[in-house]
Amino acid sequence: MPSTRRRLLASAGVALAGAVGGSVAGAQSESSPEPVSWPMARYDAAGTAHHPSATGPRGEVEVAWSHESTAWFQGTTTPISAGGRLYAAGGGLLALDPEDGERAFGASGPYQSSPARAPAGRYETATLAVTTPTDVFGLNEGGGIGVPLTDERLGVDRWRGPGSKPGFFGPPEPPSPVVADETIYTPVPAGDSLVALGSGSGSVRWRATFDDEASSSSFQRPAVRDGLVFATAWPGQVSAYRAESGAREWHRKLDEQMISAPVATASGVVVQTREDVRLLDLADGTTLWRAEFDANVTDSVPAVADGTVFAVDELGSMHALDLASGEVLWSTPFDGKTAPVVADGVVYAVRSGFELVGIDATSGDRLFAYRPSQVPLSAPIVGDGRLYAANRKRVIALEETA
Amino acid sequence: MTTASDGGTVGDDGAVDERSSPQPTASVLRAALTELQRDPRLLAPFAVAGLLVALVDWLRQRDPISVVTPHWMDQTVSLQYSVFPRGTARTSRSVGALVDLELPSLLGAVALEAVVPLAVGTAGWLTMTRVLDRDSGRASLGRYLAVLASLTVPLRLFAPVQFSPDSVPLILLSLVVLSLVLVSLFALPGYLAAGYGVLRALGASAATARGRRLQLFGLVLTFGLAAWGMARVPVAGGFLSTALVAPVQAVSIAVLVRGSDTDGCRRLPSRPRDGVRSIW
Repeated sequence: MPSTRRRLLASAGVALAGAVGGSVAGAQSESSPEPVSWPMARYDAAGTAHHPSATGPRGEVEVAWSHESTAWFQGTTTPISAGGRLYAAGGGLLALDPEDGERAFGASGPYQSSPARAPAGRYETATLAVTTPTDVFGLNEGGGIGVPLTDERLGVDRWRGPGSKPGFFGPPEPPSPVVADETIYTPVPAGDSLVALGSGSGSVRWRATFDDEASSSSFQRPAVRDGLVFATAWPGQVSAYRAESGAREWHRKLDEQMISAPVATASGVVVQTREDVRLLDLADGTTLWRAEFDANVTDSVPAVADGTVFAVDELGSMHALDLASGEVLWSTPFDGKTAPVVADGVVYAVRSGFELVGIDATSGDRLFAYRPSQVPLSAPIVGDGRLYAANRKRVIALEETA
Repeated sequence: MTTASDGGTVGDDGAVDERSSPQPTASVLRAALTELQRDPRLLAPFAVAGLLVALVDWLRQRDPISVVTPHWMDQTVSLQYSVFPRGTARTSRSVGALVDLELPSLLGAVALEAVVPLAVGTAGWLTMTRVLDRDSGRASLGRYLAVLASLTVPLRLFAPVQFSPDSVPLILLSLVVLSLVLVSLFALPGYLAAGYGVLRALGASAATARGRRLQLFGLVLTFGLAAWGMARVPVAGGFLSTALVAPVQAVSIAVLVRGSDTDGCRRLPSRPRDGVRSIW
C-alpha cells in the first residue's frame, strides 16, 4: 500500500510537473506470500552463504518463470529477496514478484553488484546498498515515485556514497556490500579502502585501509560477526576491525598472496588462498588449521553450513571440509570457479557461470545439473522450493521438475 | 537631461534613457558597486540570507538524511549562475533523500529546504525594491517568490532526468540556447520586484536584453564565476557567495531595470542619488 508520504510527494511532483495521473510503487506485494528472505549476497553478513530454513530443489530443475521484458537489464550478480520482492541489479535495479516474475518496478542506472538490504532509520522503506565499478549507491527499496507518462522514476537513488576513479586496467568487478545492524560495510569500488556507511544517509562512519601495504589492491567482500568486521585483500592480507569504530583488532599477512573473501563462523574465519583453505582464530588471526590441495584458486569463495566448509580447487574438484579440524569429508568432480550456496542439505554451485549443479551436502553426490540458454548465470539464491538467479538479459526462477 | 561621461544619458530625476547605447559589463558592475557604496544597507538582506545558507549547510551535514556535495566543488572551473540572485550553498539535498521519509523527518527536511529559497528570494526582492525605490507591495513579493519557486523546484525534482547531448554541434547549440535564455531572463527578477505581472515582466526582460546581449552575457559569466569561486571557500563559502555576490547581482539587475523600465512609457521614479550618475 503506498504510504501517505509517498502519495504526498507523488501529488507534489505531479502538481509541479503540471501532469495528470501518476504511478506509485508500494514497497510490499500484497498478492503473493512473503518468500524466504535472502537480504544480501552470500545470504548473511558473515558470508556463510547458508540459509538455515530455506528449501530448494533436490532433483532436476526447470524454469518456473523467466523475466525477459526489461530491455536495459544485464545481470551477472546474485539477486536478493526481501520484503516480498526479488531485487536484481545490472544496468539498473529490477524489482520482481518472486511468485511469477512480474515487474514491480525497474529503474535503469549504473548499479551492478548484488544489493544488500539495510533498514534505514527514519525511512519507511529500507535502503538497498549497491555498487558500480566506481561508486556505492543507496537505493530506495520502494522504487521511489514513478513520473507519469514516462519510464522515469524520482527518488530511486537515496544517496551516493564514496567512490573512486577506475584504475589503469579499467573498472574492476563491483564489490557486494554487506549489512549488519543498519550499517553497510563495503569496499570502496576501485579504491583501496573499506568503509562503514550509515544506511539512511550513506555517511561514512569509518574508513579502513591497509596503510602499511602500498601495493594492496581492493578489499574483498567483508564478513561481519559478533561486532567484528573481517576483511581480506591481495597480497595475502587479513584484518579484523571493530564494527562500531573501525579500530583494527588484528592484522595478518599470509604467506600466500591470492586470498578469497572471508567467511566468519563461531569457530573462526575461513579464508581460501590459491592452494589451501585456512581457519583463522577470531581473536588474533592465528592459523588454527590449514587444508592444502592441488589447487589454483583465483576467484572462488567457500560456503560454510552446519560445521562443514564447501570449497573448490578450480582444478576439477569440490571438497567438503570439517570446520573444526579441516579434515576432508568428501571430494566430488567440479570444474571451474564458483561461489556455492547451501540450503536444506544441498550445495548449489554454478560452474564458471554456465552450469548450475546441485550436490548433496552430506555425501557429495550430484543431484542435478542445469544449463541455461544464456550465459553467464549468477550464483542462485534459495527460497520456498525455488532457486532465483540473474542470467544475462533475464532473471529466472528454477523449480524441481514435477 | 544630462549625458553621462561614459556615454549614457540620464534624466534629471536620475532615470535612465532606455534608448541609450549599451555599455560594457564593467560599467554595470561599477554602477552597482557605487550604489552599494552609497547605501550599504543594501547588503543587509543578503547578509542575513547568507548566514541562513551557512546554517542550513551545517544542519544538512549533521542530520541523518543524505547530503550531496555538489559536483562543481571538485571542478577546475564552474559557472554557478542563477537568474534570481541567491547564494551558492556548499551542500544540497536530492529529492531521493526525501522519498519515504517518516512524516516528522519529512516535514523537518522540507522546511529546511524551503527556508533558503524563501530567505534569498525575500532578500533579493528587498534589495531590488530599495534600489528601485518602489513599494511594490506584497503581491509583487508573492509573484517574485512564486516565479523563483517555479524555476527552482522542477529543476530540483527532475535533476535526475538529465539531458546529456553526445555530439559537439548539439552541445554548442545547447550552450547557445541556454545563454540566450539566461540573458533574456537576466532582468526578470527586477521587473517582478518593480511590480510587473509575470508575463509583462518576461516581455520587459526580453526587451531589455535586446541589443545588449553580449553585455548581459558578460554579467552572467561574472556572477556565475564569482559565486562559484566564493562558494569554494571552506566552511564560509555559502555565506560569502550569498552575502557578497548576490547583492551585487541584485543591484545590477535593479540598476538595469531602472534604466530600461518603461512602465507605461514612464520611467520608474528614483530617489535622489547623491551624485551617482547613470551608466546609460
